[in-house]
Amino acid sequence: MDEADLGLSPGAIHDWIAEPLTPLSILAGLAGTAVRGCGSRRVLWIGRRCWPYPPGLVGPGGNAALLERSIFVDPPTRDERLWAIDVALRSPAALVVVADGTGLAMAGSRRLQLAAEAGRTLGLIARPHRERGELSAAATRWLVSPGPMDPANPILPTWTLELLRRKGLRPISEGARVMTVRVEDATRLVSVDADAADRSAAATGPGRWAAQRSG
Amino acid sequence: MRAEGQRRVVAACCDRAADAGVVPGLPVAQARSVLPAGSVRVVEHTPERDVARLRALAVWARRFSPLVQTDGVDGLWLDITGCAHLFGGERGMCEMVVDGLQKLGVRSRVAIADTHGCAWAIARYATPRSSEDGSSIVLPGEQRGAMAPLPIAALNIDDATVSALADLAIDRVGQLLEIPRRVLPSRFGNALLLALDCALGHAMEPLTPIRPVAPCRSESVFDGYTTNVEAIELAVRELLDDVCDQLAGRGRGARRLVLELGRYELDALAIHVTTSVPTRDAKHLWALVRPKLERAHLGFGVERVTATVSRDALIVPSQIVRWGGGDDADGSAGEAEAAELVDVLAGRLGKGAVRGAVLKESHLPERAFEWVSPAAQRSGADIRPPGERPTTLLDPPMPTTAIALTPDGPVHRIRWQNEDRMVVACVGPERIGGEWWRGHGTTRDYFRVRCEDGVCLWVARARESGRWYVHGVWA
Repeated sequence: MDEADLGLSPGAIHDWIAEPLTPLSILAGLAGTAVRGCGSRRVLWIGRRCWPYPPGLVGPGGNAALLERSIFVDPPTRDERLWAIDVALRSPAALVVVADGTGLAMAGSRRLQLAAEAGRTLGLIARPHRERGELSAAATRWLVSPGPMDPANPILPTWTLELLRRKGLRPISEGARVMTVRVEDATRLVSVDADAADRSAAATGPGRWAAQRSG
Repeated sequence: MRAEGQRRVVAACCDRAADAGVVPGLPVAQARSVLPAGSVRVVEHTPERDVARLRALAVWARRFSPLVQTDGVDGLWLDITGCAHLFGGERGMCEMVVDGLQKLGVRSRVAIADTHGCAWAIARYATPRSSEDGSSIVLPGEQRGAMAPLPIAALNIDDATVSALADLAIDRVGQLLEIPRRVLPSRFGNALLLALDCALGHAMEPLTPIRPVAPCRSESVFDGYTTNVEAIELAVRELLDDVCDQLAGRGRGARRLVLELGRYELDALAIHVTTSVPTRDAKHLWALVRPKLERAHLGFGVERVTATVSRDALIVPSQIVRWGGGDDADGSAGEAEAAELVDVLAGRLGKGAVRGAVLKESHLPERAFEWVSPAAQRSGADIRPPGERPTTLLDPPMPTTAIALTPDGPVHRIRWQNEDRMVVACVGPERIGGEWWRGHGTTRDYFRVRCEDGVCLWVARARESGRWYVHGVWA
């Protein structure tokens, strides 16, 4: 088991598709990984659908760093939400922006991608399942579903992540798309199941993708 | 109303209450009983606000004299040497002061005398005789005659001396004046003699006048009316730079800033911005002002722009970590940027829409944390929840049905999203008692369950009713 950031590059936005609730365990785990050893930059949770339950971020033995750096933002309308995500992604004070991206069109997505590039910020955009086919400028698009039980620790939540799309790349093998991850109780960080993906995948995300040829 | 131990007693009251027999020191309950029901409004007595109000009045009173000092909690001293003729003599000045205070809703008694000890005594203890508006003027050199009929307390001396004199049946200043001076210090100390001398003008008593601090302010005036947005923006940025320099000189930072645009044939337009932490970073203020300026209605042109810091606060300088910094090296810079981001978001979305959270010592899941302002976030960092908590809490808990194999035992089946699900793993119960002192009497048993399809839920059973709820999801 290795802690992983799934190879998500900062300075880009990433779409997360799940139903019926926002996959906050995974997103909080990724934010927690980013927060470790990184100055005092903040994590923003934009939109009430993306507000985690604060004690759930810490856990009984956990590290309160993520909660201390969290800012919760509640924009009243869709336009205000897009503006808030944009401002947050551009700010040098933001490290990770977890945002509700419901109803985000291609133009908005492009705007957020440019904002993330400008601010070198990691943008995690949660989108509902029905928007799975929408166009998006995100660097990667992930589908989250409940994962298989871990026999060693049956109560531990697990998820299956399917990498639907990776900008400019295509998968070499079908296995490269899918991995099983869990969020450890003690650390609240995401770790990749070593059985499902090899160690290089654990460190850098699914690796066996090749540059996409045009035409 | 103020609290005196367990009792709540009257600190001050209005005329109508006073007519009904309410006096300061009376318990509030008793005061209510003598007044008609429904007409009583009880408010907490806040001495700090009294002091602030009095200071504000002192600043107001500087229109009469440059030297104004506050006296205790309810008095002002004005040194009007050479000022009275500007207001139509001492009589005219008295009338203007009383009149002005009346308009502010403050009742006053005014006295003018050669010494301020005497003026103090006359204003507080003499029955107004010279005019109907409650002001008295003691002519030069007549302090002795004016003071003589007043009670001893009018000398502004401590209570012990007053009661010691009362024991000797001396309760008027006049009686004290008849006693030879040299016997007084041995019995009552020098303070009494000094008070007497100050009142009569034999000794000097200096005033320590208040010095109101003018807010940091900067103004720029154009040659004529302009609607050129770039020019206005440039002017505003220069004003902000200037204001920030002024703030830096005082070691303070802006909490609230008002930008006023003087428009042609229209009322001045005021743009208010508020910051979460005091700042003197012009870039930060500009980021807050800019979106509001862009939407401002300039009318037929703007002639002058004024930036005023209407509220400021001390900036506590933080130590710069020079060696071994690591994480903290960029700490203070990061904090400033974070404050800027919070202000920009709060400026458009409203203050309540941008929050931080701190954990609280409560076992009830819905009360285990509290929303705070993002600036106040670092408190309570050592609190940990007592058990594993889900990342999403359903509020309110969603009623559901479940089957447990034994009454207190693990969950076997559970209904979630209109689907009955088999439970493959279950940890619990974690029993959480209600906070009965707040009226939440229900005890709940919490289970962490994993369904056959991998969904992980936080399930609660109310012990009293036996009903099941889904309270959280590891989503």
